[in-house]
Amino acid sequence: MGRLLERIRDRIGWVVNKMPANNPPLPPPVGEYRLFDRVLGPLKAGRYKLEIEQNIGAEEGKVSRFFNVTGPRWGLEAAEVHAVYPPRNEQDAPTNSHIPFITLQRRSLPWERDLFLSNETVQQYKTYNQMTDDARKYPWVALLIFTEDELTDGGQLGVHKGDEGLCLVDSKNSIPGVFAHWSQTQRDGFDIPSSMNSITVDAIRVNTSILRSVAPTLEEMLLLAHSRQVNPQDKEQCGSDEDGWFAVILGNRVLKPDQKYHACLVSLEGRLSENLLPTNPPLVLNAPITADPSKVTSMMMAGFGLPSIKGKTPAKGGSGVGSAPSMPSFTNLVLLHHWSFNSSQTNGGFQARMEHLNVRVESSTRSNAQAGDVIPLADIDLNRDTIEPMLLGTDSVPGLTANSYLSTTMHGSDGLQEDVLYRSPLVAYSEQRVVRDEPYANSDAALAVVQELGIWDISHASAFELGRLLALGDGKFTKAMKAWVANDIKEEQRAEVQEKIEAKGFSVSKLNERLQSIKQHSTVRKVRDSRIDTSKHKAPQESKATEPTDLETEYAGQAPGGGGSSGR
Amino acid sequence: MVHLVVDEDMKEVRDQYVEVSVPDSNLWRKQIQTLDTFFAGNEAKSQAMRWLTRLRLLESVPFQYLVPAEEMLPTETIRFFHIDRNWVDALIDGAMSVTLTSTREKQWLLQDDEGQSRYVSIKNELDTAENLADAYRNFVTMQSNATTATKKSGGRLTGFLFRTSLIRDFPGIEVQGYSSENGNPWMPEKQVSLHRFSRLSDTVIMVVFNGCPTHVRLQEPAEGIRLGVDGDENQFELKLKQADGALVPPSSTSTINVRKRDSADRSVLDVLGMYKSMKNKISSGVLDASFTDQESALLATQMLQYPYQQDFVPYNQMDSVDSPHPHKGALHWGGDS
Repeated sequence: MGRLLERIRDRIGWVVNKMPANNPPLPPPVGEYRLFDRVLGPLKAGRYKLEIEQNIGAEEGKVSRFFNVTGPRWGLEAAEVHAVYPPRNEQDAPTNSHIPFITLQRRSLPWERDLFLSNETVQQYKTYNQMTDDARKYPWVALLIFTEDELTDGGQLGVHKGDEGLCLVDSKNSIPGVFAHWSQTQRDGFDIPSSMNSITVDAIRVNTSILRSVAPTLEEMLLLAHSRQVNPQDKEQCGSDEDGWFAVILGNRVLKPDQKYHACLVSLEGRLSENLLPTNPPLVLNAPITADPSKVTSMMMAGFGLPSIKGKTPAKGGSGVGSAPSMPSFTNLVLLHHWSFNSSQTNGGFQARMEHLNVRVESSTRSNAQAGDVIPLADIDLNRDTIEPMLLGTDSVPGLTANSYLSTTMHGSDGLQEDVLYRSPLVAYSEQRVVRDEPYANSDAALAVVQELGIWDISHASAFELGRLLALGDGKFTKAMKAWVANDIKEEQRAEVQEKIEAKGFSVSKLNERLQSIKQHSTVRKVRDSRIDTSKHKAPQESKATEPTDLETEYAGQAPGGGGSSGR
Repeated sequence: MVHLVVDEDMKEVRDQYVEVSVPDSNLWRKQIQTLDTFFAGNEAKSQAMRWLTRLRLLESVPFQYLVPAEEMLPTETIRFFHIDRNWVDALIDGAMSVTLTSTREKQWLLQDDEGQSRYVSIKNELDTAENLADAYRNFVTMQSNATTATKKSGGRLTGFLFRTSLIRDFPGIEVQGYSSENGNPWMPEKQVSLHRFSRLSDTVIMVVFNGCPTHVRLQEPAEGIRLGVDGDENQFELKLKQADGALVPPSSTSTINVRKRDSADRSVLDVLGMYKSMKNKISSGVLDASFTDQESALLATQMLQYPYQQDFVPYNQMDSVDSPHPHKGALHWGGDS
């Protein structure tokens, strides 16, 4: 196994080269985060064969073993997606400057499959010379942002999910499968045997020229995917399953106001030869669409030099050389994750939502704000407003006292109702802990009377009852608790018995002593002794005398050199 | 000699997969004290005590026991609280009472256990155990902030309930509490450790601190920080940042003009062009040379916006010059002695 492990370590080593000294690096300090170009696993998804050879002198041994490295291909489990931005169904996605992105739970996911087919090279497709030639560094996924109009054709939205998904090859509702335009040989080489033809996957169907106008270039795909390490210390799900590592895929598009957008994380695995990605899109500096962009564009092109286009022939019977003309008008892509949102003129980001947390005005010198008004944080005028403390359970809530008691009614077992007070374990003011030496015997013992009002405080009684109910509802706990107590008690009882024995002089040593004295002083002893003596000395001799040869022959065959048979 | 051959002869031998070993992802557990190690030796006791520990942290307590009136926690609000330990002790009494039915069993609880009644020693053990329950957080905290990792056992617990759609839409929101009477409170050594941080529903989180922070900060999740460009659609630009996140001081070379594709609605950014400009900024010395070999990490660094922080501070420090952040909220604990 030595070499294989070495190879794998080499690969990991490469990743770590760009990381700080520790492997894996410890989380960054609180409030900091680290960005990485990518995190590559030791092996990409696929089938592997391991050949092991060993030579010892003239002896030669050879063995093969096979294993699969698996990973998502046709869709992502919900748990693989950590978060999306703008949030799903957001109505006020910020326009103009922020770009949509998706955060994936697994840091290496975007690089776990091959973007390129096995007979393709990066040089074949790249247009920017200085970008890396290492195919492993290119992600197999891209985040495409479409407006609803761009994705709609003939009144039908080109997002096919769940039961409405498209087949891998077969047509469904007269829409061809995602890989229907590939030959059987191509599909076999791509691990889609004909048995998978009718498997349904989520997919988008989009006009190819629109796709090319919004999709990133190959180089941009690489630039739009990175990994991130954060400190999970201050987060909710700081568990062993969430290690603070993520992969992030960015979109390449800012949002226009008042649009419905669809964000689609798609797989481009093996699809490069279809010319779906733009290679040299025209560019402008200024936004107004009325401006004449030609001058700017040509200037830019001159500035960076025309991209070198070499070997642009698709590797396998693709849809033709070069750009748009010969391409099919619609393209189906495997959809790994999809969410939609609306943009508006209002900025609805994290900050805006945080600033819209509600507070109550305690007093204000403003004319348009009064005590008791509920206003967003952002509207507080620090110089003129005093806001109520943001405490849980104060008398600003109807039915609550200043020290968090809620007036409620208790239904007694006799059917009568009684006014009582209840307070939750979460209170507005610090409560001193009173350490009792004994537990409450029952819930009645936990009742308290509020002297001033002459009514019951049922807080602790409710807590006691709740504890009982929760314990009764959990068989495992009651069983464990019972076992703990029972074992302890058994242990104690044993100790007690021991103690009593000791106290009454019935201990083993004392009993032995007593026996000894009986032995020495009793006449019975001699009779028994003599009997025992007789049997002791005579019995073995007798047995030896009767059947020595039989035993010897029997044992000689069964237990050669067998020990431990002294005839007892 | 070992060869690694990809994808050959697979058809005949599909059933001969070999399991590949995985590194021990639980190695960290050996570096700290956990509930398992704390209660090791007596399996029945360990099971029961771990259950009681979770109850101590109010984990299975129904929401209406915590917030008995809807109006106490309206939508889009944050509400701070103290935990009444007497209530929680009564809860534990109730749970234990289920199994302590006979006189003998009741006696067991009150027996002397090394100088104090077993009842008191169970409570003390739970005081320690509740600090160990969130093991991975304890481990991470110990790695990055040893002062905060040291928790007081059996002391005051405070926290807040936060009911907002932010919880659903921005998973991973970060919460920090600091305890400070004067000076800059936002220092690592003043941080108060988290006791419990959990989601009670889609839009409600409950955070409990081991102690009583005077300053609380809620921050946009670091893995979900917005990315984007500055300016508006007439002219997008990028303000350059160094590797430590600091802005390059404004000058004629500290920004990059961002082009757009001359197609669609001109909202598709020229990402490759941005990257090329950044490379030029590295060679001209405006950006750190440490960026030289970076690709997507360089782009992300330049496009990341600063995370938004919302601070909650006591009234008397709202305008304090010592606190470097603007304070929109006031946090008033009240009743402290």
